[in-house]
Amino acid sequence: MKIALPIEIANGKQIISQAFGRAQYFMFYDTGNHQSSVIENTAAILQGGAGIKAAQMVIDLHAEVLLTPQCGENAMNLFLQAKIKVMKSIGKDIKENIDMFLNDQLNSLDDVHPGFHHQT
Amino acid sequence: MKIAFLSGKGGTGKTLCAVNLASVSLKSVYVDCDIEEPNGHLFFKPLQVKSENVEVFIPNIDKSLCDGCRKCVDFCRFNALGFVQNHVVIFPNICHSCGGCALVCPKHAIADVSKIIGTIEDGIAQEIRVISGFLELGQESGVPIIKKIMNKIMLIQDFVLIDCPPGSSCATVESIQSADFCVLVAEPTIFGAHNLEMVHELVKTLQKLCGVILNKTNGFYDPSEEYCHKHKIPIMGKISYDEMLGEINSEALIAVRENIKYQKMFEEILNNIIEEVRHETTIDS
Repeated sequence: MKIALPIEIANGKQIISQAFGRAQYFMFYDTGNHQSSVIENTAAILQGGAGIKAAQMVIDLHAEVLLTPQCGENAMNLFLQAKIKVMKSIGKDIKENIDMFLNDQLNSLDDVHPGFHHQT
Repeated sequence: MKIAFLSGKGGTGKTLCAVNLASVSLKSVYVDCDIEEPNGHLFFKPLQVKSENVEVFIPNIDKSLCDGCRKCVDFCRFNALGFVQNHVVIFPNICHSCGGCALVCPKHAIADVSKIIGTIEDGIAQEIRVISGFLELGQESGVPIIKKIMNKIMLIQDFVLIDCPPGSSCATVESIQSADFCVLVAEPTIFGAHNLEMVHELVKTLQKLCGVILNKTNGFYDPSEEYCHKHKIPIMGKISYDEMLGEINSEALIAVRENIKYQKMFEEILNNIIEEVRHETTIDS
């Protein structure tokens, strides 16, 4: 099973990013061979539609699960159609969250973030 | 002659100036391009209003023709299209209605359906024609409404006053395309001067002639006035901070029709603007 996570690098350490669409990188962890790979999130710098583009990357790389602290409405719409499970991560530690997910300790992300557009 | 009224922020007095200057002109057309919050019509209360819808193109995919090549998804620079389980997903609120997806589709599987994003109202208030754009709630961009208004007013020879949206975004750029002169309305604060700079940069980039109305002046140091002197922008008039004017305006009354003092003030500003445009266009030609 392939697990995706939005990540960023802080003080030389990989941690879970608080943003999904505008995360610096995505990590893909394969539970079969315990290998992980990191790709740059090219959607992060887009003016608009970053969430959709980022979700598309996760879908195209065949992730089955996404662990993220939040996710926008449009991206969630794509994940639902792609039947990708979206789980709410806790804290910033990548390994801890993967372990928690594998031990059924994470909940699905029900509260969809409305996005930062048009806030008054 | 077309005069546009701009400001870097809302609430500086664009509508106050445009409405009152339209009212002291003999025959004029007031055009409200502040499509997110058009309020000029509240002052004029136009009659014989004709309303028309503004529609935009939204793609619609014929699934029987689509072979999943993804050319449309890759083409869309607004990322309004996703691709899941071999079919295209459309996000109408992200779509900018450019129509590019339909052009690049090799299977001609994309047809357009139209979506109503707002309306344009066109009416008469005494001698003044009042045209206002209204963007529907929840729509991303009102630019197509402004484009349609611009087409409507293109051939009008009368004196046209364009009340622009605040800021210096695409909607403002579209609103001043056909303007012969831009009036920048500014407040006497540091924040006001900063916002003035934003719209001044915009009109400079678009090579538009401009002048400034200093609103809510109070006799103290005015950073906006300083900005005008520094950048040699002509000042078309000063409107001092005045609670009576504020009160008249808050009741949706037109100040020049309520008090001769305001009539004189706006007549003088109007003359200054007309003189400035004449002067500048003579130099240019």
